[in-house]
Amino acid sequence: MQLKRHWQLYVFLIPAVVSMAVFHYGPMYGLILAFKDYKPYLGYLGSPWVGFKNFMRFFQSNRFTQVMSNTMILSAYSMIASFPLPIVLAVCLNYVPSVRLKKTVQNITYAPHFVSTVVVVSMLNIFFARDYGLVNNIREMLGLERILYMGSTTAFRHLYVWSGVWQGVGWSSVIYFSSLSAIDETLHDVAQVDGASIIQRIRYIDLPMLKPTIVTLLILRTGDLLSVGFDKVYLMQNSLNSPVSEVISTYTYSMGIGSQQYGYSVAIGMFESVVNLIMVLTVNQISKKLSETSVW
Amino acid sequence: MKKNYLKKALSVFIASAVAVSLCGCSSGKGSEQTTAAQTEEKTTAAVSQAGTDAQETGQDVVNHAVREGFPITDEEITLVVGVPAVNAAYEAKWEDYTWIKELEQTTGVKLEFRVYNGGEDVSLMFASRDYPDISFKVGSTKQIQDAALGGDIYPLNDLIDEWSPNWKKLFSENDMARRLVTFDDGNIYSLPQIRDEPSNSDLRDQWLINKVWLDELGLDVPTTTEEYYNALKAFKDNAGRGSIPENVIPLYIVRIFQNVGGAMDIFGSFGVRTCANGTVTVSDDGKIEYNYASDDMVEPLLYLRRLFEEGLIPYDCLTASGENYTTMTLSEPAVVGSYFAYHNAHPDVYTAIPPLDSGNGKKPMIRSQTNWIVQNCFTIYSNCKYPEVAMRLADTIADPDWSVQSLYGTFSDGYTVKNDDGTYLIIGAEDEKVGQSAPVVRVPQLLSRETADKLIYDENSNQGVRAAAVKNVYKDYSIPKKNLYLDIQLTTEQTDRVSELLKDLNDCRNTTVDNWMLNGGIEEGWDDYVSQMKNLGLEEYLSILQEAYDDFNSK
Repeated sequence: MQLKRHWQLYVFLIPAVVSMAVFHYGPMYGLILAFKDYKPYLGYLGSPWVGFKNFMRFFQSNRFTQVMSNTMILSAYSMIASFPLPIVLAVCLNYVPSVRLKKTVQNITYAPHFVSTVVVVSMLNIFFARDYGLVNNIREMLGLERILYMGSTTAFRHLYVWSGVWQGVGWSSVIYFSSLSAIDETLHDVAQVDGASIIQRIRYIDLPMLKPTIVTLLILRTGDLLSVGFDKVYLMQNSLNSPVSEVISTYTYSMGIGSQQYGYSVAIGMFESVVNLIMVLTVNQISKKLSETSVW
Repeated sequence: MKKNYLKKALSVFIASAVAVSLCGCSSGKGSEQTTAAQTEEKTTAAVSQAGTDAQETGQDVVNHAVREGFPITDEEITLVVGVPAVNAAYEAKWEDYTWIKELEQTTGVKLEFRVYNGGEDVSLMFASRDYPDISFKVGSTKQIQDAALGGDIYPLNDLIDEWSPNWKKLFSENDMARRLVTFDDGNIYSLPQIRDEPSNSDLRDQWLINKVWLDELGLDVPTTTEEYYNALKAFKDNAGRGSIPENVIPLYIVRIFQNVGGAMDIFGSFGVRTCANGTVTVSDDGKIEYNYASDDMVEPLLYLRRLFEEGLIPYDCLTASGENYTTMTLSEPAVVGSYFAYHNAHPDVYTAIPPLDSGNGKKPMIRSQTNWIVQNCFTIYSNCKYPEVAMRLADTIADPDWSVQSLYGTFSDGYTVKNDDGTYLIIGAEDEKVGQSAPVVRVPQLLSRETADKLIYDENSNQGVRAAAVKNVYKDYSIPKKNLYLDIQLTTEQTDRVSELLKDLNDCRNTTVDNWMLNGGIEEGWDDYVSQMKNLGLEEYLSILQEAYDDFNSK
């Protein structure tokens, strides 16, 4: 009955469901490779089963602890640094009276999003080069010692995270802008009549209204805890910073794709997804309990 | 009620999705089978067709392949060729090379190219089993081993015997080459590329030093490591004077263990045997050795550290890329005092010096290369309908004329000349120009030593300058062939294990050594480093290679 009455709605749903089924659920049968010693000529089903051998190999490899902790630290740092700033940016700009200034700032902060990763890393390489880089030139003028930033284990994470913040802050703030613009103007009017300061208006109107968006995004973000993007780390990696820059994705790339060990790579990828799933479920539950907002 | 509906709808969707994906695979397989069957039919048809043709013309034709002379087929056929990508910055597209056009014209085979941009494309090709007819320089030994087990690749032994006098001759004369390309089951699945040319393989990098600056400073060309150090120091101390620029870089390297332009030849000066790609070498008594964890390394590392510490090598070199290296070393006017490179692009400025005497009593040496043979360069896949034609194509490329032209540019474009006495004049040109004429090292050449001896290089060409340096400067120092570890076939399990171990070992070595270069502490940290390398499986790694090496030699 319901189906018939609202059939138009279900028609709208079809493309999304089909694309999910084809592009997300369909390929999942490939996960059986994690439990197999995959040989292309034997096919998915024909390759011999090896149980958890691929997983054990990863857990027991020399690099497991290093790769895991690097991934978690980099990802957590990146989340802590990059999550609140777009909110701050959006809220602040929301109070800028001049539309012109607001638009200009918005455009300037969006722009870096469209710069490709390769270019960003080249820029880092040039600005932070030891012998002729801008940053080191400034350091020298201030009488400080030159530093090989790109090869420094301490600098790697900061460079990675803050260049990411620079690139993403404007773009990520879009969603908060839209939530803010959805707030009923009368609330602000009333608050102003009552003599609320801007800080108070942010505290008691904007943030509570943004809360569901923030929590939802945060939950989704924790689902990526183990997936640090591949390309940027890979491009920034060198032998000097590799003790902190070797993460799951780069390790999988060089071990799996690079030397055609498909079963092994799928196992690592699956491990990553399972951990991510557990994280999302946990955070979702916690948030349900604490704030009554949850993704599902 | 509503919930039930949804549930059902969902399960229907999931079921259909699964069904779709299953259909997807099975239909894929099905079509594969039909094409295979069709191919067989076609082949038999073609063979009988060819048989009648042969009867008519009295020529020996099998499956469109003509046994002798050109064109090599009795009608125009098309072969799909899998090839590695070219460098689009200065090279022509595959179908636009003069050499390829002439090859097509002569052989009567139309070549259709399928370009693989690097390892991922190639992996995808092998994983999806979607093959071209033949391929040039595509696939690793492991990939070809696996594909051969699946029956996807033609064994070439009989085809070589019947259709390729050039390769047959090589394998009968050069036993090493034959053993290197023969797989465990006794078959040859892929032809190699042979470039037994001393000016290429007897040396990796020329060690170049700025002669103009040396002259300006009144210094002799250094022969010992101390003199070299002093020369570099003089470059630095005299920055801004004469033609030495203010921002002079006395020695430029691109990381330490980089094959091209790295610092490994400095180790050679201290008598540490190294190889082009920075892994293992073979000792005189046949033991596989990984010298980067041997105590002999301490001395050259201390020397190298001193160069870094005194600013004679910029620290940026530790994180430099190939592009940085090219920009720095080729800049005009020169900013670099000394560097390592395959070609000496400015022979009027830089001069090649032999490895230096370190004074520790060991004979200095310089790296040579194993690339007189490169495996897996010509493969025929089982979906190829004309393997005989393909093999004749390979035989044509292996002909000295074609091989020489493919490397150095065609006769018609004026980059090479064939003399009446059978020698070849290599006029040479900038890489960019030859890159428009011929595919250089991306096809399965057969340049035997016999042919290589007939090459006369124009002395002003890059290769000519290099050939002269190899002959006059490096002859007594280059590491002999017997000390090099060739790319011996391993089983796929061994390959997997070796690549894992090697990654750990190399990462540990690179990180440790680079840190020493930056912060010092070599003598204090050495024992730790050696024991760390042991923990990472150095011995297991060596024993796998040793076993393969011994097996290979007993074959």
